[in-house]
Amino acid sequence: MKTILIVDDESNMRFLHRMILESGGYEVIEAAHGAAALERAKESPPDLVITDLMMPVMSGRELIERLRADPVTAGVPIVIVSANPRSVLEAADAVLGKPYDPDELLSAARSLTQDEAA
Amino acid sequence: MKRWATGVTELDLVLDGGLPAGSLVILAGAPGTGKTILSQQICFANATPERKAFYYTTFSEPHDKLVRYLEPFEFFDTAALEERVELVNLESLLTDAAATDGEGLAPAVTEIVRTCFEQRPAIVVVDSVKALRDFAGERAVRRMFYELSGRVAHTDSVLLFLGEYREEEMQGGPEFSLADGIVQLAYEPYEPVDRRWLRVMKLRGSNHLGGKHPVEIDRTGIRVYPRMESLRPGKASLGGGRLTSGNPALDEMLGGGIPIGDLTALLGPSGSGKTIAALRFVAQGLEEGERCLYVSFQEDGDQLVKKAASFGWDFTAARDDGRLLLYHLPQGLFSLDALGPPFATDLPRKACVGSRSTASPSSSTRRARPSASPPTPASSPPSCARRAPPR
Repeated sequence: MKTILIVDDESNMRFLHRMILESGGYEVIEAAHGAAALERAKESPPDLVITDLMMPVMSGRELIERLRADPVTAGVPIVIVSANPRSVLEAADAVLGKPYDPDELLSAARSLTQDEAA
Repeated sequence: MKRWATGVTELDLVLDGGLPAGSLVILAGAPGTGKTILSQQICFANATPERKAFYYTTFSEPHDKLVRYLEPFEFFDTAALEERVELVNLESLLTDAAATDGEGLAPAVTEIVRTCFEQRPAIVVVDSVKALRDFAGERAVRRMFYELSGRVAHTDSVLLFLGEYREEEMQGGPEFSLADGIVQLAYEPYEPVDRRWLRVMKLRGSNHLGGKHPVEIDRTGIRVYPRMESLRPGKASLGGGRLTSGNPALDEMLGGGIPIGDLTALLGPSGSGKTIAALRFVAQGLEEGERCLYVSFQEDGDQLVKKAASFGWDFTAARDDGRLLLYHLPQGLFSLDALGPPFATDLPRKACVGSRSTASPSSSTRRARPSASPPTPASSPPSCARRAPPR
């Protein structure tokens, strides 16, 4: 089973991400900000990171930079889910705006984890 | 003292120039009074990529919902989020605080202080600070405010704390004694309409304008109308001499005309001729080369001009060239204070010594009743209370 790390400072958003992704057959782990997510990703690199941008302690932008800079996590695909979807980062593999269509999230997850079965 | 502008010119006037840098200011008021709108307005007015604004939410509303409801406002720029204005949720840090038995507001304090020193934001908002009371006791809240006000004072950021405080709560909470500023927003019934107002209860190091200042919310955001009497305190004309009313018999009864510098009320029931007498007064003024101001609560400018014409007084040219200013404030909608900004702009430019002004409420009592809507130069009305001539 593929594992997805979701990173968002709003628990409601994490709840929605989890509900949608678990319905798609994914295992989901959570972090409320970039620093916690970085720690978890280094412990055990996930198959996909879905992250917000504006968060306390460490922003999504910094999280992405650090994941990319670490050889252990550099290859993990990243999806940004943000209130301002126009702030596309080149380092990310996909960008979704809030609120998003659940199918879009699942579709991005399937595509980036190359998970045919999910 | 360095100050940050609020983005609302008239509010800056009330605040003696804006929000002092390094200060902690509480924006207090019931739900629906405009705290979020005003604070976002302040954020967008000041934030740049170099000096961002941080908008911390606690347990208020999801960010996507916040954005959706703020997008219709002209000041709000979704594309500027993250680059200039960051929306950050403190929820996870506060949950941790709850687990430490109420003493743990420290993670949230650390986050805010760290942001102030590392990012050097212009504005930091916490919405809502009152929700923090769910996670900590009185002592912890006092300590949090003490630490934040003491530490952020070493930066030039402004900490703006939003809270749904009731009036009585504002008398005793530790946050109110430790805050550098308290701005109250309110929404109250004023039959037949409701009115919004704003009051600066405290602003250290500032000579702010006291009292209730009418507030309106439209697509531009919050609009503030400073109380007119607070704009030029002690500047009332001492008067001298008399102006003819246009009616010789009335002038004779008044001992030579209407005293300059006095406020004269013209009272009477509907249909008794108050508006006509006021229009006659204006016609006389125009004939003598004076500039005139007519504030109406009922008929608009076109109606007044038409009514005057039916008595043979042609106001068209005077209105066109600015010798006659007609302002229409729909009765029951807003406050007379809404006329402050246009008066400040128009009177010095267009009015002059010897001009005459007229306000006409429509009811026989002549008492000006506030109501809402932006000041629209417009019409003319029924009766009138005469004001001292603007100089």
